[in-house]
Amino acid sequence: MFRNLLRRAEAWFTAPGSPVPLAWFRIAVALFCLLNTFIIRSYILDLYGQYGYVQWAITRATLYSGLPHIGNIALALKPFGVSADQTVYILLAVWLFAIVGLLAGIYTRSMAVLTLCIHYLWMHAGGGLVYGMDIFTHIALLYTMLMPCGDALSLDVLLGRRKSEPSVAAGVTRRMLQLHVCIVYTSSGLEKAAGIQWWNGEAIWRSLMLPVFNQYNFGWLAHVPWLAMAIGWSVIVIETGYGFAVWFRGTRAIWIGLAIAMHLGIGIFLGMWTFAAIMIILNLGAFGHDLAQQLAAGNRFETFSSPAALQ
Amino acid sequence: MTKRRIAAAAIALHFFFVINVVTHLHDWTTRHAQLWPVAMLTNYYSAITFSNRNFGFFAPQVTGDWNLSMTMTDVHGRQRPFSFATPNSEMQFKLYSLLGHFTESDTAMDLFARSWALKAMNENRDVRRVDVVVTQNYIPTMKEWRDGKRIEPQLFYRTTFDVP
Repeated sequence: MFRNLLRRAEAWFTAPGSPVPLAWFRIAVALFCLLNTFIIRSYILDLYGQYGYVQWAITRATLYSGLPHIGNIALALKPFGVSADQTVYILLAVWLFAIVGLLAGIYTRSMAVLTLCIHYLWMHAGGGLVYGMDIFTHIALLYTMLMPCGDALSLDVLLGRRKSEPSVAAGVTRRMLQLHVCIVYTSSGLEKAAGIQWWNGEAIWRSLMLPVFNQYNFGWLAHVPWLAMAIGWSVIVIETGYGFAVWFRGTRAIWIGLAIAMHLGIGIFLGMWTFAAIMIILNLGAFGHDLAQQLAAGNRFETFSSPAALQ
Repeated sequence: MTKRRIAAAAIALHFFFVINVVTHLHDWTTRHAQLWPVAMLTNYYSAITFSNRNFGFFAPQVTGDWNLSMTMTDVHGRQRPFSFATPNSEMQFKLYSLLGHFTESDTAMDLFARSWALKAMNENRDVRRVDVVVTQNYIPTMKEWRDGKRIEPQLFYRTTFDVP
């Protein structure tokens, strides 16, 4: 029975998949990276420079031994008369080149590797400035590197370098992304559930009132604490339930809709638009294709008691 | 078949690293010397891919945010403020993250503060002293808010850097 279960699991995991949803994911991630770079364009040296908000000496010291740092590249270029600041701008140019290449889908795998490598350098050069958005961007770039996302909607296909056809690699890597997104949400929900603030509404109240996130006047919320409590509970339910509900046709659309609504709420009420955007991209990259197929087939109300409900 | 097995092993390892951290098993492996290779590999994998992290942001609680203010004193004893540019919300969040990392340890606080003071001095060559002050906003509970208490900054860290 166990062997049979393993065989079924393997068949499910390795079923060939279309490269089209992966291509859309690639395009969305590349556009997001371009947008993000545009937003911080005037502060590249402050964020990633040798004498920025956190000096290279500090970020290098906190990096595990043997791992490369942007400082290593600056040292390698120094004999050629390239300064530390110029190194940052050279990397920025290469970053933009790689992102555009990834967007267009030309030498896609190489561009994906290049973007991931440079994003790794940004992450550690600006080590003290990294937050959730940066982490999930890096994860998204990791998956664009693993996925055959240049096998559709790309110059690689147009120029005959790649064939646009279903593949086991496309299926497997999208399953990996799905599992990863489920782990992210479920673990996040459980971590929140471990604290009293998410149960008594104080976490919602504090998030909305923190000056750094404060977008609107939410002082009135203190007079309706049940509302803050209800929102806190709903966040726990949405996140903790995601890893289970998203696999069933009867609940998939609802849960993805709730997750997207939650992230839109984070964007509107906390101003964290880039974080919201990358999370929505990851959601749709993982499950958007299944949801689209389900909605197109018009069976969104099929219950999960039916044998076909678990895909 | 070998390629398939290598891929399967790589995928299994990837998710082992992810689950190792989210379940806090990694915390346990770091406390046992005989498991240091597992802990070390997990750390390196996280440093490279960032895929195995604790994803519990704002969990289990939401801490108060911080305010950074720096005052520069020039050779003539005149003082003026120095601040980091936060022209948009993205830069504000980056500064918020910076201050969050700053508070991780006493060593981090001193190193970061020194870094900021150096930046101020690099950009203002006439400056001979930089005072760094970090305050944390106390966010009242909903009940305290109803009772009239409001957000107030509380001193968290203060230091001074002088050019000898």
